[in-house]
Amino acid sequence: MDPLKHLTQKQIDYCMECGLCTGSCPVSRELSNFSPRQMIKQVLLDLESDLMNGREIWACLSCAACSERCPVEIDFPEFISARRQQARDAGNVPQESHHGVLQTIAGLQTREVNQQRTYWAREAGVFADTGDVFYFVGCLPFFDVTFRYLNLSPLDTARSVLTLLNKMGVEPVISDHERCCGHDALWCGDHSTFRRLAELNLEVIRSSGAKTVVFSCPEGYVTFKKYYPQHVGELPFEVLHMTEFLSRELPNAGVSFQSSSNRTVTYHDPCRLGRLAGVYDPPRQLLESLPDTVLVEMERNRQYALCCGTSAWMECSSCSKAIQVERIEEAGQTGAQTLITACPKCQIHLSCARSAMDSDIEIIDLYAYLAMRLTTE
Amino acid sequence: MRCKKVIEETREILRLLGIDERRLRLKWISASEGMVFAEEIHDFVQQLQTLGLNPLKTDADPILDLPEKKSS
Repeated sequence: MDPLKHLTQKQIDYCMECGLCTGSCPVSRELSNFSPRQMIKQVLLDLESDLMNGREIWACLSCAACSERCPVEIDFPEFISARRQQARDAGNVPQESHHGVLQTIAGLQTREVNQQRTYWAREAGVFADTGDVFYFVGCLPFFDVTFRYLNLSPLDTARSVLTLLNKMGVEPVISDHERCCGHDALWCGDHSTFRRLAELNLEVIRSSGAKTVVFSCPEGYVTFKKYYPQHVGELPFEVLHMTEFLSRELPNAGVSFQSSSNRTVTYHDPCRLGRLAGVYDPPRQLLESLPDTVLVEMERNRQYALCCGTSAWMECSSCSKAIQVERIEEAGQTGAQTLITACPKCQIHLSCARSAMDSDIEIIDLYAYLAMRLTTE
Repeated sequence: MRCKKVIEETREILRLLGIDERRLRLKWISASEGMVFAEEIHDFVQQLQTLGLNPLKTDADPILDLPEKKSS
């Protein structure tokens, strides 16, 4: 048996059917037939084939809102993930969003590609081929093309990160050979693609000589930190999220920020950074360190934050939209003019939903917001 | 125009992946322009033959393999 599956099997034996999971699940509120509690019960009653053949296995956002409250600490995302590979092998596959282009790109990256993905960095700042700090850019260059129709430029995140790092005197490694971290392949049950991407990324980072790898994307971060060691062994370098790196290094780096007119902001915790990796304070510290900035919290924040409605580029539905609309309305109720996101996918999903809403809240990426506020000499 | 935009974006993705952009071509040809169509395809095939096999192709290829023709 898969060791992960064995672990979750042991966990679910403790399920006492209290239903807190289903009561906490944002998907269950929209899709009445979706119930984490029922899914666990199906497995306990040896009705696993129902779960394997149904669509529910793909509807889970793996946002971990249920696990956060589970009194016996069942890791529901892990429970789902362990079974998705089996479901996929049996021919039950997820409905891929955006015509599957992002899954196709990740699949192609398992081959001997000769990528040209650092053009933006040459214009935005200084970087190197080898060095101590590796900036893992993730899928931003591809998102920049795919989500142009939303009037977004996800590469602004990467440009802002490079600007901030350069200001701090850091010239990070940015590589043309970097691959997708494999997060989406893993959550789509495609473990062979995931492993191949992980191996290739480790090779690229090893050859750069980096001792620390920093991520602006929470998915890349949690995938390296939590899932690479599980699947491909211990990593020979330190893994840090950019908000951890910046909140640690910025105060002593002699970088100053200026005041701005949009001063009241609210912060949306990405599931991957918050509940899955436990990083809640660093992004808040960064925002609060800006002059005249007031951070107001949404009603559901930190470990209770609402997910952005879709994960791993699959199963985007009216349920996803309903969750996104709910989140934007919640942000609006704080009175903030700006909603800060720290995950490119949260920014894309919330911006997509907002484009069809009557809301004037601005959705800005955390790093773009910080770079915007840098003091200009 | 939407098609033109999608093709341009696809070209950008090919560039990012390091796949030769000449493997993708867009031409507007009317249904009445049979000769133009034939010439274009002939030219495209010749170009693809010069470029050779797709370097990303592998033996077990779920993405790029065309489905086998059914014998009638």
